[in-house]
Amino acid sequence: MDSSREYDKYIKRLRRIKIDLDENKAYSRLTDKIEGRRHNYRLITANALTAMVIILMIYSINMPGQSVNSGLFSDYIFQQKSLDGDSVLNYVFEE
Amino acid sequence: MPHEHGTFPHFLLSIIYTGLEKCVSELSFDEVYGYCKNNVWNLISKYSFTKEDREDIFQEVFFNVHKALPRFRGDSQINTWVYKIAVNAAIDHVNRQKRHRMIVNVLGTLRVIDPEPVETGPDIEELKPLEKLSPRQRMVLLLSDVEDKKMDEISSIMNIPAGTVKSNLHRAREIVRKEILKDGQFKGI
Repeated sequence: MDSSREYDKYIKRLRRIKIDLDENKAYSRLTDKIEGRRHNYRLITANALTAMVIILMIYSINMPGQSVNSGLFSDYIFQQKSLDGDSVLNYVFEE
Repeated sequence: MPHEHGTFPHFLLSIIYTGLEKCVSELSFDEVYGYCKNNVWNLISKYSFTKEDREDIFQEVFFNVHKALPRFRGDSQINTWVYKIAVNAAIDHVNRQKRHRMIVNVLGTLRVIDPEPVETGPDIEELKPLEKLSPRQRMVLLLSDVEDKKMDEISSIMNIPAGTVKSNLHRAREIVRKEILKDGQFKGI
């Protein structure tokens, strides 16, 4: 009985406890974390979009039989020899 | 909310994300935060024993609320839903800390790292009798005796059967009674 009374008193005392919340600090910490998450999402989306654009570009350039000049652009970038058989580097740095 | 305006694509994507978040959920995060912050803080401030823990759990709760808000279907009251998240975050936090302390102690014993300083316990005298309770018992006791929640509500919030709530509450009360009477520190309040 005694312990029950003491318990009730303790619970009343526990209910009365008020610890102040630093609202500005809590909210700014929270928004920083949320903004960090948004930033990560934006980064992932931007990277995925960039990768898609690159894949599409490479695919459209290398699509076989789509135009008379198919592969010309990629050849221009990746081939070591120009169309007349000279080295591309010689052609580029030729005065 | 502060926005970080970097490049134009970033700015555009931030507008799209904010718009999507608002479209998907009828309630805005700020509304939920404003409505529930005091209740959550009152619970957490008595559940955890240090200022840092209180602030960490509070941040964790509303970060999880922000993540889960688009999936809130209105099956329960928003307050109950946020309480569920708060209870899980608080219990997880304490369990995570226990695991961390255990690993640090083992590594300290093996002299891999310096042992952590001994904890001083709760920063408020009234919370000391709660120290001996398990994370779940402490939460059940606070929800039932301090927050005046009913058994079925606690069962729903904590996602445990009502029988388990009752047995946890019974055990928690027993432990706290013993702690109160020990040394007579809370006698004559």
